[in-house]
Amino acid sequence: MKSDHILSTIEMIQKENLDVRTVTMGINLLDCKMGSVDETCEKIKKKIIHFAGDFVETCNKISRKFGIPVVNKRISITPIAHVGAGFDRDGFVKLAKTLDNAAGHVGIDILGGFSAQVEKGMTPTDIEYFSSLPEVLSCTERVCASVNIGTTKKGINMDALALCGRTVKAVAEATEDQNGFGAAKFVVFCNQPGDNPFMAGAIHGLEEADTVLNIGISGPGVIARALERLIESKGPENLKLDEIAEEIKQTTFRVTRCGELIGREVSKEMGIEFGIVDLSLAPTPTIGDSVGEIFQILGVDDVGAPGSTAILAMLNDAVKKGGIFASKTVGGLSGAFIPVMEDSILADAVGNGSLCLEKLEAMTCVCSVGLDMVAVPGSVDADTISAIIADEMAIGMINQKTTAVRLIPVPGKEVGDYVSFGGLFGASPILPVNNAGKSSRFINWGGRIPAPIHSFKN
Amino acid sequence: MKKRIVLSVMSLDRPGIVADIAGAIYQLNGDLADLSQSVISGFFIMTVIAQFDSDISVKEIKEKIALIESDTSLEVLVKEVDSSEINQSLSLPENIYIVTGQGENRTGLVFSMGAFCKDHEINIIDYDTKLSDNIYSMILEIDLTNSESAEVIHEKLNNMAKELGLKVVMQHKSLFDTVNEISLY
Repeated sequence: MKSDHILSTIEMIQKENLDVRTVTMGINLLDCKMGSVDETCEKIKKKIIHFAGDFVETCNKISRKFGIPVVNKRISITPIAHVGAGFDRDGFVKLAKTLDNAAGHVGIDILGGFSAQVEKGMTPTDIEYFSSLPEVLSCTERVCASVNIGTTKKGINMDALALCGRTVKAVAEATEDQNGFGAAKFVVFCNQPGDNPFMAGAIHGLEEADTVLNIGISGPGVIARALERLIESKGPENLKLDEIAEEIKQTTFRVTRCGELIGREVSKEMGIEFGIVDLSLAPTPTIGDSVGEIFQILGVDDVGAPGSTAILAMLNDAVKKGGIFASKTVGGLSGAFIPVMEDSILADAVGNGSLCLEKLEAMTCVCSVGLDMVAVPGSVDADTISAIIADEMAIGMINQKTTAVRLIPVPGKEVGDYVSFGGLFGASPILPVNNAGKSSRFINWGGRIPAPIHSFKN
Repeated sequence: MKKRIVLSVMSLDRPGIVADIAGAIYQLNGDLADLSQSVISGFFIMTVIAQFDSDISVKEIKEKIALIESDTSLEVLVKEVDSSEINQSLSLPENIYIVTGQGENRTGLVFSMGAFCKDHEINIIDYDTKLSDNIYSMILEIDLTNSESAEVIHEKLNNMAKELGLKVVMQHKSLFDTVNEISLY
């Protein structure tokens, strides 16, 4: 083996902070459904402990073998509204507490899948589920919730959408003492994938096997450092964008390979099927681990300036091209994330006024996810939040891609204020919402936005 | 019955040494089985394993090589090897790790690393070093088949590295294959 290959790999791991962002174990809980809530809770706890009891230790062991940190070990479960069919609000709160406990027991910091899939209609159970969310997200630490309210195939469920706006508000208010942090654990999706390993929107889809391991690759820092090195070695005057895209592609290939390797090894060690590698670049608030920084390296002084959408489109595409070939099976969200609070450069751009909600929305047309971790004034009404969600859902539905919304209407805070959740959830100034209070008539129609014409392919 | 011969060649580097040696082997009807060659700081070093008919002697091979016209001095060692002496056992890929060590240049680094491996029954399969800006880099491919577990060795290696002022990383070899090769096991 060539020594320069070895040294460049070592450099990538040590200097450029290459890691595997998450190993997420999906666990099917459908077979835990019993006649009573208590019996169901008991079975859920047993199943999670049975399959994930040595999950964290196994990941740590493999991580030591390869010298690559596995940053997060997480669990996703079958959308809970399916597991809790027929249960009431209090039943769902009990399920959530059980999941919180079980996650704690196996050493997991976040468990996703306290979810419902209501893109076409809602059952009475789904309504009970929605009503449990403010309490669930305020009384548990580790449980994350998500709902899928639209798909390209089925259109958008506008009744569920109206409920989502009210739920986001209620969850934020139920966690007022934590600046509305509960809302950071609730994501609304269009075209939600069943194999996404990233939180808070991870679920173990109904189409999945009993257990599966999904991998989230390393963050944007590695790409940023690779680009800096390229620009320094060749000189900016000697580089064109296609060469930069090529560098992103090749770096992503290596990064994805590391994820693939860790996934296969953990899967072999645990005897659990290896699902997919998610190629998303997920930033963290740590300095040097920002998607926003890549925008600056590629030539816009602030994220949100004209050119930002084009840069994001190129980045997202190059990441996919590099990653697809590196992994046997790619899935999940697979694109760049732009979660404002979790990315210090994006948060700075909000603070200096360069990045507004409308530009963020435009950028979500060309990347994965959507309006993610956006702190807005606590005074914004539920219907306006629903309408912001509706716009984002429409982008996903029409463009046959995943979009999601994770807004935090921070109670008692207004534009000019600042909110910090600490840790991976980050911090940001409050982003202004223009034209608030003007969309109620639209939201109040309810019903459904019919599936778009290009969904009729049969 | 064929005869296995190992040839070791050292010379100041110049173009044509491989052709000269391989030509001599060819003219003696020898079959070149394996070859490893590198140039370190201007010195050419090559080891060759070749098979010859049983009636060819080591002396004849040496004489043939001595006829090579060279403006550099070719130092050649020729030795017959008994096939039964060769340890053919292949290491299992899961026991192969890559160790990289980097630190300020000083005497005794290679010795310390070699002694460490010897003391812990670690076989060194490949060893490469580089000196740049007074930073000494070592890359070792090691086989842990007969040693303690990788985790124990890693810890002991880290302790030794601290004393030597080295930054040492030990990672399973498949990582490097995975990141740098197109095909994946």
